[in-house]
Amino acid sequence: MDKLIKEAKQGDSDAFTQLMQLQMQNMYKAARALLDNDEDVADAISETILTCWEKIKQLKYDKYFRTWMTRILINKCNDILRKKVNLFFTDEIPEIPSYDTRFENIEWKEALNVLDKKYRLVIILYYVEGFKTSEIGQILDIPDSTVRSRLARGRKWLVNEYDSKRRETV
Amino acid sequence: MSRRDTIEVLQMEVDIPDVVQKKANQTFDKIREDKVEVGADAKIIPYNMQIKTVSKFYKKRIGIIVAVVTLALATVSVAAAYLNWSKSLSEGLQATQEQKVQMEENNMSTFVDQACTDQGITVTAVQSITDNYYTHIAFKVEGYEPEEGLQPDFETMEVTVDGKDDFSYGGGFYDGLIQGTDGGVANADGTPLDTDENGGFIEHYVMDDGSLEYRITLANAHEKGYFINKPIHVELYNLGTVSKAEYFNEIEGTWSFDWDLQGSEDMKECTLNIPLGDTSATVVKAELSPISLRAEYEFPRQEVSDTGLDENGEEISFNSYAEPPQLSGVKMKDGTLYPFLYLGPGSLGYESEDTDIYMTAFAIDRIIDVEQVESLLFIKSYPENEEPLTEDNFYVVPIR
Repeated sequence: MDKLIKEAKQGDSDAFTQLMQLQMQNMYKAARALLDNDEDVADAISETILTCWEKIKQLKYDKYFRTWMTRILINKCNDILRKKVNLFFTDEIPEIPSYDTRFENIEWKEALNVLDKKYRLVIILYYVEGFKTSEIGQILDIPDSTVRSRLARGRKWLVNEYDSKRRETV
Repeated sequence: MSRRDTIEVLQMEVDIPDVVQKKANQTFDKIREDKVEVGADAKIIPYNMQIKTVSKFYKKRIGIIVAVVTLALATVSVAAAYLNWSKSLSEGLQATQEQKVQMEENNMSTFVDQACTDQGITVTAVQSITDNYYTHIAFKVEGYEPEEGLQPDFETMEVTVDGKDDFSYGGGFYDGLIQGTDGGVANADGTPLDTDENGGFIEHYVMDDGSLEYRITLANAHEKGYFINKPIHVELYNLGTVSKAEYFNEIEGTWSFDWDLQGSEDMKECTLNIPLGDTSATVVKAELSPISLRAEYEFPRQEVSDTGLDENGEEISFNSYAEPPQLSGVKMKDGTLYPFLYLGPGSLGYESEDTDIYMTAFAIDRIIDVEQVESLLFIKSYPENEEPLTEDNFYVVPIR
């Protein structure tokens, strides 16, 4: 990955494409933790790809590429959440293609839905993407202590959720 | 599904949906075809911006931005003006009468009283509280009442200060909920929390007089005095509700404001040079204002190796910098601990790539009397089993 980052910084669009294709799993999971539908995720990821290409020369230390990219992605997701228009109660027929994603990644989405929204992103960034709490703090612009506290509450929430589900099935 | 199962499933490789991959590929094609240069400022047309519609829930079709009426009525009354504090700043920041008087006297809190009406909704910029790095602004919204249980929100906002927008900002309608001393949620008016059928806390957006309050916070922790005495422009667009992270528009309108922020540089600045245990971090100085905390550490960079998962779920090792203990709260002279004061926005990190000076700053969730602060609290450890933090869990740094 280091080689691809260096080549991308030199303006090699093929290397950049390869680099970002390698990040698609990570980007999809992080964006899906915030956004409820795949069309929005597609927008967020595409905006992130473009911004990363525009700004990659400004990345001083290659080892922070993933932290930097994820921060951009989260900002794009937040932009979408703020700017979102109502698509569901429309008087017009949407002009966008319709994609049925109901059966894609069904187990993964079920696991995601188990997580309370408040804790989803930190849990995905920590357990799935392998960021340290301090890196998550930098990505989300919140103190490390807040990340740790959200993780602790998320873990507790998961345990409680599991216990309640177990009680339901007993 | 157990906690472990849930996390393991989340770590599984997923199929990238066609809609996502296809759009990413279009972007890669655009880049490879040299349609976007490095450093260019291009925009993707979002799927969800391709159509703009009006909700059919509303029979009366609402015209788009018919007129913007801005009434500049900037007046400030002095005598007993604290009685007019906005609820989101007074109750939301838990201000005492004494604090209100003091903050008006030094101009940290000022009244704006500038109203703008569009689509029958009157939004009034009521009050601002501004220190060296942060400003809170409260807007009263009259003529709109969201359906019970729904969270009101403006669709977007734009803010510039002195014509620039190189700062962070966020906003939301005041819901009557605050962070309790234990870091948990509490009703600002002291009444017990109510929960809905899903266990969510019941928010109280509508005031006794039927109005709502929208509060925004601007932050620039890197430039002292950034907001003070600067012209500010705020535009709020469209009004609706948010549910499950989705915005539902109800009223298309624009509410626009221009005035000069005031504010105060008053703060307590302390030179400390106090080491935090054996962490190699030394708190060099701190700045305390009634609405924010800022600390600078000398913290030589320490590369640390750690492990994580790569994009394929394989364990990898990587290097990063260690973090110093984080500033979390304060201890008052009467012994009261406020262990969680973070409201945000906040900043943290090394001041530049060439220095070992590490900085953290954040807006706090209540107004504090800085002269009554005895010590700063930096997180040392977390108790087992999520028990409440005690003084033993902090590096306690007395201020002078």
